[in-house]
Amino acid sequence: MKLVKMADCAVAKSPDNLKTMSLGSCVGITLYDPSKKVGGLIHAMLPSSENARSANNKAKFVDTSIPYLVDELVKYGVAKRRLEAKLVGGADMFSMGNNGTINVGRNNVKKAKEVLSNLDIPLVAEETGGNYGRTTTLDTSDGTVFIRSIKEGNSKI
Amino acid sequence: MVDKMENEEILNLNEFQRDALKEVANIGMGNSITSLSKLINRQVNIHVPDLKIEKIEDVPEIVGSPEEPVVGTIVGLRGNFMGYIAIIFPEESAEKISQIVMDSDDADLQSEMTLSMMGEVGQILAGSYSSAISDFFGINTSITIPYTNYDMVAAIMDNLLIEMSIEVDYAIVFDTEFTIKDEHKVRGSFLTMFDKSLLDDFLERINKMV
Repeated sequence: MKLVKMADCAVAKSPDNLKTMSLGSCVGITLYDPSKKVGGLIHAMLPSSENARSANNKAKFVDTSIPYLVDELVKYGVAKRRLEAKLVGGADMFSMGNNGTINVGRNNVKKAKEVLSNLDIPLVAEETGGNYGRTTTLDTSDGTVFIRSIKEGNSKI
Repeated sequence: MVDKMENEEILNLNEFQRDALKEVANIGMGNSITSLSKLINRQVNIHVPDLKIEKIEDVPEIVGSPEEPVVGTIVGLRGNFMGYIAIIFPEESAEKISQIVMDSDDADLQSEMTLSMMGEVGQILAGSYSSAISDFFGINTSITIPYTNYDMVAAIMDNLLIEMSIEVDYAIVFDTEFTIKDEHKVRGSFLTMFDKSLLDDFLERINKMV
């Protein structure tokens, strides 16, 4: 099991799985190639690197992390056209509505969908929104994403 | 991941600067703990360890395992000083505080009532903290309304860390533990987070005082 920290991403090949803990407004993005049984997982914090003072860490931003992970996966012999994406997280932890960056969860999810669509990577499943944290594990044997939460129990997509 | 440390001068505080900042935190915490002690009518002890300068993404790990269930309250410091205070109670401690304050044997951390009460506790602690610091420096500081939730600690803190991470890569954190006398199960963490500009401001003011 490879652990992916906040503002980080990693690639693994079956039987090695990928896990990231406690996504709140952060978004977890998995990219998976079923034929190679290779997958990648991102734990991104912010939608866009555009207004950031320091954009050195590509994994911190949704817009830079997805193309970065695609390149990393290609190094593992993955063909971009076989990649399938899933999204987890993007919660609104304090349910405060439209208050500035409080809405960052929703914006993270929106941005992820936009970037995936631009890259022609199909989004096959998502479990996003709500007001609770999610721990996310990508099973690289079949691409299943397991989600653990304290308040809403466990699920898989 | 690739991450060039752009504002790494923050890592090179000298011992005097560290001590001075720790003293500032001590003043704020002392006032906070007095308020908590009055609220629950019990003696509260605090322990302020050394200040830590952490990459934003490593901050949740200071408190414990990222998945640990906690009641967390986030309060923003506004005015002359910008910063954040996170008050984190592990599950059992939150239940105990709720029982003490509400004078009841039950504590449902998922109920709106309990969370709102815990938010009030957080606001009282943060308010006393910020007013002590304001008095010390002779400046104006106010606090935002508290945001409280019961969930995994890293999930509760990520929104705040996201907000900070737009501007900075590192946060200055005072992780203060407090325990309530005779209630062995009650402990909490009080994290004060400042960004680089606030640190500069603090140090400038401290330099003027000596």
